[in-house]
Amino acid sequence: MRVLNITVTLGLGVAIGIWSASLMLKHQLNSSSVHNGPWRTLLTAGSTDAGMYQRSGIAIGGLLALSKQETLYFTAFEDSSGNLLQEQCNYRVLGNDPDARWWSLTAYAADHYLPQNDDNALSIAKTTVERDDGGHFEIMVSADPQPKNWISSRAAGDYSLTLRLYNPSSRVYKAPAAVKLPDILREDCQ
Amino acid sequence: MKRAARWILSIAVIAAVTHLVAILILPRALMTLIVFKVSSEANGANQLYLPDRITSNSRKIVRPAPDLAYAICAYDLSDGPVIATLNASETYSSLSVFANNTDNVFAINDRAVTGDFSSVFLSSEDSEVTPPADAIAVKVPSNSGLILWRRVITSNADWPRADAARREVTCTPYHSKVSPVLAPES
Repeated sequence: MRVLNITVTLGLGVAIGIWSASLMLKHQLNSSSVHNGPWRTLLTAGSTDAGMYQRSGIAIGGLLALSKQETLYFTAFEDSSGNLLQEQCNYRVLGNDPDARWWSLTAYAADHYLPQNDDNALSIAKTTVERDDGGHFEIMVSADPQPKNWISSRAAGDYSLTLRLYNPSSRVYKAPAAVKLPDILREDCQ
Repeated sequence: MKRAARWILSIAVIAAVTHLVAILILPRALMTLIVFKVSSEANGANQLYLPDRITSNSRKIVRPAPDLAYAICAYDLSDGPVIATLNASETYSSLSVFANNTDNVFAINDRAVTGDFSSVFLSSEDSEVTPPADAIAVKVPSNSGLILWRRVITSNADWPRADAARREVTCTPYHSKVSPVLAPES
């Protein structure tokens, strides 16, 4: 009876500890991120100034992230209207080149890895995107093939988009909430 | 009543300890795992490991960038400093150093490379070895961690150049030049 009592006490304590750690991790990451439309970025990613929750969160979802002067990582889990990004919906990502030496946009499944499909359409970057005469681009994120600027979301489930800005200008990393970032517009859903 | 209160208090204490340990241990545990994996793939520490090009099947590190060519080295400073190099490049490339708690303690990119390449001299905080004059000295708070090179792949056609570029970087133990001990003349 005593052994059972100790086992239940230990089990409950450990379960509550892990559950509360996971809740706090999510809360802290969200509250300490800078938000810009559907995008958010953690300025302490990779930094020696990161707190214990931020460091743990980065270890899970962004291990080996660089500091903000080297690279800024903006991630969106929702479109510009606040709906979760979902594989069964098509999205248009509209914008201009962000103020950085180089950039890329990539879709990640909920497990933080690339969607497991063989579409060979994992990302679009500054050097591969097609723009109109005014320098604007329109990237389609969809599970179905698109004629140009396509990122495949097939097998992504509920996913996220990460916009990486390599060597962002100081204007960007000093005021990431104020810079103009691409809009994510939901089209049709199946 | 007292017994129930003691039971609830026990659960709360165990939960609090588990919470803190999980949060504090997680970064080091994950880094230790990655350092071990990289060392195994590279046949030891302080050796370069060149992972395959990132595809949808890449599962070694979370959120890999498919537009980057990577090279990686698990450093171990317990036997002395390590020298790592970054070559000049026409497109973005960088060398970054991570301590075993995941902190990015140093980064340099191609814009800062002077000449054909720059050398980075990694040593532990208590090391007294003098770095070579032409190297950038970096004191690292942990004896083990990772050095990661990134090089942008500007298009599919650029992959062979990016692949060749990452093969030129180096990660080697540093052996300071010591004057040979001369045998006393008999």
